[in-house]
Amino acid sequence: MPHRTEISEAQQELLEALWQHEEEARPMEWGRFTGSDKEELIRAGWLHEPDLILTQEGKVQAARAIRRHRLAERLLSDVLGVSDQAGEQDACRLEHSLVEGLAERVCTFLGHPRVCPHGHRIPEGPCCLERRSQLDAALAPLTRLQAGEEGVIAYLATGGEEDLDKFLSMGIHPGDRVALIRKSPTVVFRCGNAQFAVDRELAAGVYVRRR
Amino acid sequence: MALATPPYESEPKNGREPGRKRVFLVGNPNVGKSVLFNALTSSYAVVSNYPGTTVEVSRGKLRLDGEELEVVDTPGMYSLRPITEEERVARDLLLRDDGVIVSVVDAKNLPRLLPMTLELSMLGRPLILVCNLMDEAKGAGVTLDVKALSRKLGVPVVATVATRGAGLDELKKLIEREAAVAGAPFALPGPIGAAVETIAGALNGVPSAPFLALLHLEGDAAAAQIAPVEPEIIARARAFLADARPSAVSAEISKLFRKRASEILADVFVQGRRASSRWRERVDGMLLNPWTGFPVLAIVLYLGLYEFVGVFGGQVVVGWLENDLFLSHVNPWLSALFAKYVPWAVIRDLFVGEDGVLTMGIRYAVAIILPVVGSFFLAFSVLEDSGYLPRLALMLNRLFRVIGLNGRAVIPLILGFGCDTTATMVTRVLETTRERVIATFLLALAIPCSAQIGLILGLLGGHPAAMGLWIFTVAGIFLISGTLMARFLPGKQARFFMELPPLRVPSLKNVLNKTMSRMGWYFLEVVPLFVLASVLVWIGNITGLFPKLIAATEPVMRALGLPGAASKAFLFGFFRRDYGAAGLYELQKAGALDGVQLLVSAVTLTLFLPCIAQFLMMKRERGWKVTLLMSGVILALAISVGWALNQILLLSGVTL
Repeated sequence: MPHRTEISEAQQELLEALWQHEEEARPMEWGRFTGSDKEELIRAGWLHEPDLILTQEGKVQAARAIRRHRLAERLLSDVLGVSDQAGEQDACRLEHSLVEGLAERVCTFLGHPRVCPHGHRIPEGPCCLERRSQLDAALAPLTRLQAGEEGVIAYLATGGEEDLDKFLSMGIHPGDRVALIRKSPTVVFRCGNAQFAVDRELAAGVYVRRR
Repeated sequence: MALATPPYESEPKNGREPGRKRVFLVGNPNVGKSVLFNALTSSYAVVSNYPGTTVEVSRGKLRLDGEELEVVDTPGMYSLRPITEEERVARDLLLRDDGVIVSVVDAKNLPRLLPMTLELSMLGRPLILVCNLMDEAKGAGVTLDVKALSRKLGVPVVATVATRGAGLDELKKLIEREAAVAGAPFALPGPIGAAVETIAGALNGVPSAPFLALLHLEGDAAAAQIAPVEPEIIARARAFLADARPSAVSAEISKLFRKRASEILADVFVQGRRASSRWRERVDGMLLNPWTGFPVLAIVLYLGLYEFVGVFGGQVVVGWLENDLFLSHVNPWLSALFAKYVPWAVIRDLFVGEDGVLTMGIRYAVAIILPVVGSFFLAFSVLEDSGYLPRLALMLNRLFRVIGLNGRAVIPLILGFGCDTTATMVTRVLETTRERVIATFLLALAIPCSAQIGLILGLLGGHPAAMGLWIFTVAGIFLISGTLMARFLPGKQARFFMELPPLRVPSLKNVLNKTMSRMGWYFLEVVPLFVLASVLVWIGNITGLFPKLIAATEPVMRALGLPGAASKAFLFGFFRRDYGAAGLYELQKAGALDGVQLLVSAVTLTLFLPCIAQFLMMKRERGWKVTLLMSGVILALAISVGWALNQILLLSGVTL
């Protein structure tokens, strides 16, 4: 936004909380934020005054902040292997360092992930929209591997919680080594000494770090 | 058990027999629980090479040094957090009991499966780990240090090859020794551990407290039912956690289990080079590739279904039993016997008359239906044990999505070609109610069971064009009704996910055991119905009701272009579709039906209402409302399709 690029970390956190409240129906904890943070956002034109909901522009800003946060989480968990609990705090710090251009580079490097390690949606950025061929990405969905290619599952970005549960309950988790056997008529892959057959849609959510 | 559920083994109404110690076989699908069950007890549970063979709990007795234990074979489950109905049944059964748990795993996949054994240890019950399929593990290049595993896990471990009986004596000894000793539950570390302890403390005295505490943390509804805890205590426990959302808790817990499992397996499970089996991989590749897979399917259908079931079972064996045994020897002998000793014509008619209990009921069951069903079950058992069916499921996945199902539904629908009744029960392996409703309806409408197929092959055998049209019409109805249901039934499409078991050479012993067990069960189910039908016909004849019923259905027959005599066959069809087909078989032998009439009656009877047993199974699985609605729709569809087919054929002047 031309008139305003620098906002405080606390204000960003407030934007994120509001976005999560409106888009993902999380409870809103006003107690975490000061009155002046709220005032600032109203003054910037991002927050509607009486009903305290995000304006159109506020939504765009908030989505970007969320995107940076969740990309940071992905980066920490997939590439650096930092665990969830410690990662949460690091991600908070890291997201503020991801300026717009850098966030796009990280996103591309990660292969335009669609969800964060907790399974929440990552809002798309310009790079995702013009999403180039992902063949060279270090991370690729299972469906983009060649038959016979091996890799390690980086994360599961399947549509809903239930689909994710299918993988987890069968004992297939991020960190497991998999090898693609074939892609048609359905995707068949090997994990350990077992073979699994899954729909294309499910397989497209299994992101694999290539070797 | 899939196809065969002998009544004495099925789940009793209230679940348990009091006073006897129980041993539960628990584990992933397709790891050999049922093989172990058969080896430990004198009962037989059906064993096949695909996940989901066992959908009902089977119970058998194990005798150990003067003590009798009850062994319970549970449907396979991947974790104690159920996704499908059969997993829920197994889990709830475990939670409510207190017997010994035998955790059965596929040794070659131990790293993936050990976490569930840790989960089971939290039930705080005597626990034994069985590493089965050790021969396949060796083939896959795995070496397993069983002693070290037992020491590190704190649970007795035994390595077995259940199909060959290796390790079973040791297992029996362990069961005897461990039956009284409750294992120490795996203690979760960190904040989750503290949270679990808080809730488990409040559950003091409840068996399986640590595990129930876990379920409470995850917000599982079953836990609240079995052992409710005050909300404040759960809130206090959740206060230990940084992120107390149920999904985050589940993720964290499963991570801890996996971490502990990999620590335990560190020097214990060594994966070496897998000894690759060339033929197995080549055959597997052929089955999975559509270009070779569909021709293989065609060959399997031709050899297995047409040549073996249709020609061998349905013509050679039926011909021999029907003509050479019953019609030329048994029936005349019985008639003579009754004529000599039974002076009352009414009673003679009941047993040896035209529709007599012995001369028709038993003859249909033994001479016409049993050979066909038996040969089908034999061919089907070979396919089941080879591991072919899951590969077929994968190939047909896309087609099945058109009719609102996915590849998972291939197995219940193919089972339907054996017996629709058991197939209706096996629809439990499907994930959503929507899929189960679609599959149940299609089974009732358009999947002819083996007895029917055999008879229809016999009926239409001399008319290849009619046979082709029969397949075309029934397949068309199958696809159209499936597509319509997929379109209009609410709910979303479930995704396909299936573990592919390795290809295995079927064991002759298991194939024969399974065939015998299924034939025995089928026979027990069929004979009473046939006898009942004969008795009802007899009563109907005496009271004059049956001729009236036949007269009443004759207009329907005429609308279908069939002779009035066919209405008897159709009335029999109410008892079982195959019984009706057997009636047609007789009409055809008498030369009473031409090609068009044969085709129309075969199509109508195929689509007709299922047998009484299937009707009752539908009621059990889907409830009265759905079942009655489906039956009405099916009856209307069968008659109108028959009528339309007859009109089309008449108008086009085709003779078949």
